[in-house]
Amino acid sequence: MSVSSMALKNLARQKRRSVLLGGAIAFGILVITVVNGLSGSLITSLEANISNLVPGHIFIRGIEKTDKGRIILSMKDTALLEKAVRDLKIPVKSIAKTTTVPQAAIVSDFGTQYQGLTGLDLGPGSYIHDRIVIVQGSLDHFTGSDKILIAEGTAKKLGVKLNDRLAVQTQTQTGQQNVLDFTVGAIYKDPGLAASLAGAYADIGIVNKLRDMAPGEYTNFGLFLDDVSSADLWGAALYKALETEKLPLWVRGTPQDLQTLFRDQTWTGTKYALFTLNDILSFLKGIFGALNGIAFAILMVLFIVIMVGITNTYRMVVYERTREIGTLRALGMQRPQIRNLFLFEAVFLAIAGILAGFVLGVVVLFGLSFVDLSSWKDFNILLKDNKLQLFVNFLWFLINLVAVTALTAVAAFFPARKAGLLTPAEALRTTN
Amino acid sequence: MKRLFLTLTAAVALTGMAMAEDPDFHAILAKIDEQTNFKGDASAKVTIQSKKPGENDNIMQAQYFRRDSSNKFMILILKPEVNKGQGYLKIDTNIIFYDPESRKFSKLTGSGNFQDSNAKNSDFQASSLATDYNIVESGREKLQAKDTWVLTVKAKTNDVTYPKRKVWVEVSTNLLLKSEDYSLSDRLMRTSLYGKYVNIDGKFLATRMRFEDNLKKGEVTDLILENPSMATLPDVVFTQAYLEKVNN
Repeated sequence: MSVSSMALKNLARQKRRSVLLGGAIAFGILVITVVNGLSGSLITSLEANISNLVPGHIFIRGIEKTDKGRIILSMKDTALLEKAVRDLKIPVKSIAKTTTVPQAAIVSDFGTQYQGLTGLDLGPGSYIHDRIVIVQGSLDHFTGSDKILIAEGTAKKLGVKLNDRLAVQTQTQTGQQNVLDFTVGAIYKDPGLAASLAGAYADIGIVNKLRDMAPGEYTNFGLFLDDVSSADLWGAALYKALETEKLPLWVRGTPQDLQTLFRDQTWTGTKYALFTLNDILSFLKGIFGALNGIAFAILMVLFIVIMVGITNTYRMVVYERTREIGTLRALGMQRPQIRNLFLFEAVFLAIAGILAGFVLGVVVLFGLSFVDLSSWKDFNILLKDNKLQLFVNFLWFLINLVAVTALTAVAAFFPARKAGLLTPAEALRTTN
Repeated sequence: MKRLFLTLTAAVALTGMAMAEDPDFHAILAKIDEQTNFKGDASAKVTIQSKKPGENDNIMQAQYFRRDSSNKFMILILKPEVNKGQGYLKIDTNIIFYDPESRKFSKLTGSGNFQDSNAKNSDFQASSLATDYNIVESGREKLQAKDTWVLTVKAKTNDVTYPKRKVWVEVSTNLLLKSEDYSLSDRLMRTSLYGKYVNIDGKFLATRMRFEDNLKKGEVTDLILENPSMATLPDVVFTQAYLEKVNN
């Protein structure tokens, strides 16, 4: 009989002890699987929802600075950018040229809402058609008009309905106050928190007028990719290609990092900034990454406690089975085999516990993915169809598997080595 | 011939009268700037009371420091507790906001609202009407029994907060009493009232101001300046380091 088979039989012999030790390991793994699954689910849904709302997966912006230190976003001729996209054969679904107003005051007779306003071509083929659900009105005849598309929640807060008039107030690119009247042309399904991110949409012509920009100008050149997960890869390739073309570029960074650079540096002409959806989400991803890290640290503390338990348990097991060890040694089993017998027992126990914990964790996540969270209206940007998305992080599972198995083996190593060092005569003499 | 002579004389006399009645309006704007901007430093305690329909009144207190000679100001929020330590520092054309919570500085524009009130960040800087605006229309009317010049001015450059303003200037004092501020699309956005001035060593400081939002009906902000002083301030007050230091 091999050592590993004997180890398995020994585990089966001591069912209660094995279940208790394995159960402790399984509980720890269950907790971390659920935490990793939840954070992964939230970030995946957030990424998907935001990628549906922002005007691109890769963004390029032209940044100018006036003599008086004012930062102006402006792009006119993007032939070079479009050529680079073509030359690299980037799998682009669509290109969106938009003018964004970061915070516009949308004013009705009943109140004011501050949110982003995006100016774009809302005609057929616009990315917006695939990404929002119109609940009232339509996007027909938006082009060249003063129509505005707002979220359901915004309409409710402003007390407006279709065809009502609104005023939108903001600053021009150079900082002058400006206000224009708009007509509510369509209302889209409220995306919860994302309403403050996505805000309102209107034809680029009227938004440019509001920002005192020339017709044909825009502030953002956005690329929608076939596969959003390739945004970083293509972003890096595009940046390199533009660098080769000697286009004045800002270093890569998050929009927040770049804002600091814009503030602190002076330059002439237009300098281009390139960032991806992941750059925008890096802050949030950092939070979820930290959450996973904290969960892993808690798991490790938990396992150090479990390790102490395993060490003590195996010291007792070795003590209880001293005569048995003596018999095995007398029958010709070598010292390393005795040591390995106990190590195998511990490792099998750990693997069984990890697998059980992981399976239970997946079952819990699977169950949670059916819970209707539509009442969490303000958080539905973190959900998919008002539910948590099932997300199983296999990378974290492998990390946990390796780390916990190694810790358990280390915990059992010293009692196992002690068992291996026993001489047959000495072991057989004990009266346990 | 006699008739022609009389006509010419009348024309010259009328032109002269007209010229005598219409002063140099640009000089009036310059006079407003000259007598409301301080050669040295100035400071005061500011109370900002904002009213919005359906919301509780928001009252804020701040310490306000000005150094008009080098186009600087510093506003340090004292109350409410949640905003305490926040600061606004203007150096040349840059307005920098400091948030003690995040310990970060961010850049603001003059046309941005001051702390969600109807006052603009640019309302706290030195007056520059003569530099920023050209007069396009002038008239004379009574404003609450005070004789005023009514001047419509348009911005010379595209980076002032309001591209067009209509200002009421008291004839006897050359002080600004009222201003209607218009957007680029020529919409009346705000009415500013300057209720009281104090004379400090020949310079005037508006100590009671009211900003009424004409777009967001019912939104009003009152600014009250107290304990004005012209004592010289240390240079360090107009630095980012000062904002960090007072929050340590």
